[in-house]
Amino acid sequence: MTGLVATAFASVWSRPVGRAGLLLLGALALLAIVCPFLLPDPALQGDLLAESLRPPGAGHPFGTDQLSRDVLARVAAGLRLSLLLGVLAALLAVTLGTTVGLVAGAWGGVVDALLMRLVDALLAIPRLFVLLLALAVWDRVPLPALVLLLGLTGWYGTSRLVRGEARRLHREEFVRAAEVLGAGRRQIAFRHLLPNVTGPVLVAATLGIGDVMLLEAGLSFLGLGVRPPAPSLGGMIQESRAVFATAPWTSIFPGLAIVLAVLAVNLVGDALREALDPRST
Amino acid sequence: MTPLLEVRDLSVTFPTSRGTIRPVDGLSFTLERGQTLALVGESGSGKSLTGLAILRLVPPPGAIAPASVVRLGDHVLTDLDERAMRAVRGGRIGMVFQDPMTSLNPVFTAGAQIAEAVRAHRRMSGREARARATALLEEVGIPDPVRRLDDYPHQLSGGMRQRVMIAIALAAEPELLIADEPTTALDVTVQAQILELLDGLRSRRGMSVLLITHDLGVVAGRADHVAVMYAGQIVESAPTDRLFAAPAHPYTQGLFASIPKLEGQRGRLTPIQGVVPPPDAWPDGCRFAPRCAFRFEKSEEPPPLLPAGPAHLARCWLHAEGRP
Repeated sequence: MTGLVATAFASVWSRPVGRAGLLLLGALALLAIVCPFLLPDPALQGDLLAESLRPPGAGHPFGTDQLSRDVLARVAAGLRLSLLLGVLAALLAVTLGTTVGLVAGAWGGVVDALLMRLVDALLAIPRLFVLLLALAVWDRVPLPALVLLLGLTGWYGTSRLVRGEARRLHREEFVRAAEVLGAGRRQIAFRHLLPNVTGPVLVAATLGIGDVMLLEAGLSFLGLGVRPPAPSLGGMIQESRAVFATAPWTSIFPGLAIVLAVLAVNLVGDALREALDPRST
Repeated sequence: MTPLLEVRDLSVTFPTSRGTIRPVDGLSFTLERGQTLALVGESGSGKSLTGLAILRLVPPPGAIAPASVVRLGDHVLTDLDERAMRAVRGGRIGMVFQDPMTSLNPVFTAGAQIAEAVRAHRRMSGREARARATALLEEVGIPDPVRRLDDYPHQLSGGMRQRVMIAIALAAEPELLIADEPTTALDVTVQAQILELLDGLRSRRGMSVLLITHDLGVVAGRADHVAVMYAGQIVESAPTDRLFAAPAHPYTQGLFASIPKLEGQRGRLTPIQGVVPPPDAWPDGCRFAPRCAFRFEKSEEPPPLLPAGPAHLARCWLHAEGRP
């Protein structure tokens, strides 16, 4: 399996679109990881009168916001949070979805029917409403809870995808060969089928990161996700709505960060899909 | 000595919208230790399903009829619970399928798959399993086995893959090997090698082989006994030499007439007219009657297996008492 991940990485890198995505993602990740060590504390407020809403320039490459905080430092911190949240929630969603899909696919029959009807029912509940309701309960959402909420509401698509793949693979002769060797259903699901669905799962996971990042930005913009003063890209845009006309850099840079990060993730996801599609060469 | 495998009255049922069908209908045969029994029939005769039924792996919604008995040595397989049955699969009975292209898991190396089969039935370390896998590859005649261990299935030729499948089936040293059309998907030259290999393994290991095939040519010289299947039933059963010398059932005679011969008269081949009817359209009487050139009034009744010579049975009224 590690072999497959390495191969996938290499073949994404060999595609122009994939390489652009990886480079962009790498640059953003670097910014997110390194900045806290180089830049001023994102919560640090300077002299409110002299330093607030300074346009981009020396000392503050992205300018400062109305509380005279460094926008670049805040964008970097927001990006870090957003990427972390995206990766963790997508990981949780994909793990859950893959498990449910494999169980449905390998067991078939009643188990399959029950699990898939459950997924149908869950898909009928609008994700945004569930999130809004759940988040409204909390005054200040702890990060693990946010990961849990986004992960637990994001696995349905993956479970259907994996279930379909597993059903198809289950008809293959190598599954008969495994049964003939005495393999039980659990072994067939997790030892024989799982490695064969890694490709589509990897694609779903990557694209899932982008989804979660957009959702988090949206929720934070509505004031329901990450609450101030913790820096969040969506929250920054919300806070600077009032000064958009006079100090556009306060919202343009966080907006750009969201767009570029999601774009990078989707470029990598698409290249991955192409690379793993057996019909393309 | 009791036979290694005894199958008595084995039936497989499938529910359909128009009632229950029996694609395998009351099959009985025995297989002695160290011998090869060939199960010969066209596609649709139920021969492959028989192989799966012995392992109790009939695909749902199919089921083995309650009256069926499959006995392996001292164990009645049809009475075992699922857990005990899993130990039999791969442990005491190995199976090789027709298409080596799809029978191997594409994402694991040949060595990993053999080692997994070895460890499925015996406790041993990864290193020991790998050594055992190497020995097995050597035994099935793969040159340079150490290098081949790390090859993925797509890097191997068809013949090699079938050898790997055989190595996997042999991993736990089964007493019985079920080979379901093991050579049908292979090149002619490779076919002979694989059959040779199976025969060599049988005699070296004292293993029994149930060879399932549609090709009488595969049977010649390799099977001790042949059972010919038609429409879910055994229609003729005889020692191989006897069957080739004096086929007693019109269906078997038809099979021989449709094999091209290298020597002798070069007349036209005489194929059997028609096809095997599907299980929901089997005649009430002799199931072969609609395609049979010798059918007569008696064919309206279902014939039992009647003696047609020493150790020779044929399901045909032509062999009933009092007929020439």
